[in-house]
Amino acid sequence: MRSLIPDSIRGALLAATVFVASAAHGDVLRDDSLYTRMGGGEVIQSIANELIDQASSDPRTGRTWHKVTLSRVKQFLGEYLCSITGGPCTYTGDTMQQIHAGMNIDEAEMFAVVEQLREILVLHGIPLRERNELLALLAPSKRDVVTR
Amino acid sequence: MNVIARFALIAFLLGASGSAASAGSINAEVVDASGKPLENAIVYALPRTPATGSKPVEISPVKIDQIDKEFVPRVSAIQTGTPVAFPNSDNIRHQVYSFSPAKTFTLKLYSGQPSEPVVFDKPGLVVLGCNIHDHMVAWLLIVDTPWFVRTNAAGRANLKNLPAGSYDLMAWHPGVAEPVATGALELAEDASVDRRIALAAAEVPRLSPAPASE
Repeated sequence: MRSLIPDSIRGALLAATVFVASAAHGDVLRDDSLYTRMGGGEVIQSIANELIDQASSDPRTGRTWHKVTLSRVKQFLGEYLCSITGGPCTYTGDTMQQIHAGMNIDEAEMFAVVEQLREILVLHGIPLRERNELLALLAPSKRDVVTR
Repeated sequence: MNVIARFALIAFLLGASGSAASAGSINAEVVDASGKPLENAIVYALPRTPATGSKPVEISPVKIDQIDKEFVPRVSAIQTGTPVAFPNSDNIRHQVYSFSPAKTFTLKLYSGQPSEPVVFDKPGLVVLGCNIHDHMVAWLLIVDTPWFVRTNAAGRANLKNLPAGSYDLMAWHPGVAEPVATGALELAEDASVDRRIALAAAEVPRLSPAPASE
């Protein structure tokens, strides 16, 4: 079948499209990690801090935070998020299973924290694609967190 | 060899070498600057000459438990070289640490996983904290003598089964920086000595039960 667009123009268009795509991509080609796309370490640490503040003060999720040293958890969560999003961090804390053992966290509590995180991400202007990528990275730890 | 077996062996050895001849005692009453009984003070007798005779036959395993996000007990004393078990009666994790020069360590306590006891091999004061729960605090005084006891709510502390000899009677409380020498003491065979000790101890808020919420 003959195209409505002459071959010569089509070839140019295709070349232009490829060029545009690679140019748009070019800026982030050196590092297209989720860490970088979310804005880097400072943004991720702020998100971690705000999430811990929210989770520990929200009556739906505050139960397990009683007497817990929040500053330390913030630091480790920042490190954890940095490492799983491809940032330049090595997580040095305990496993998700060790951390949540004995807390008897149920699904409702976990989903409430996910909701808190989603809202914080929106407030930080993290686009939908990146929000979903982060949540997908966190999703497998549900089995270590929810124990009832 | 597990801890219990080790203690049993030590107790047996001490019992076998101990003489039953003398059993002096020191009955101390510890008060604060205003004369009120001081609970949770440690009173101990340091022999002025190296001990040659008997030692107490009872050395019980020592433990500092984690219960409801608190150390139990908060104040205790041990003889140098005693292993201390740190069980975790809570179902959540703890992380016990000490920055004190007498013993620096970090001990991760996970739910349902027993940990190795910690041996305190130098005398001195060790202040314990928990990395996960900042408000938790406990004091452990390691002393170079088998004769030590913690005061009860009435400020009383009775040291028993001491061989005749001269001693330095020492007292300490979390509200004072360092153990205080309260004077020398000459103990005759089977003698019983009463001592009243006044300690200018500062208030220690963490010694009373922690508030229900932070």
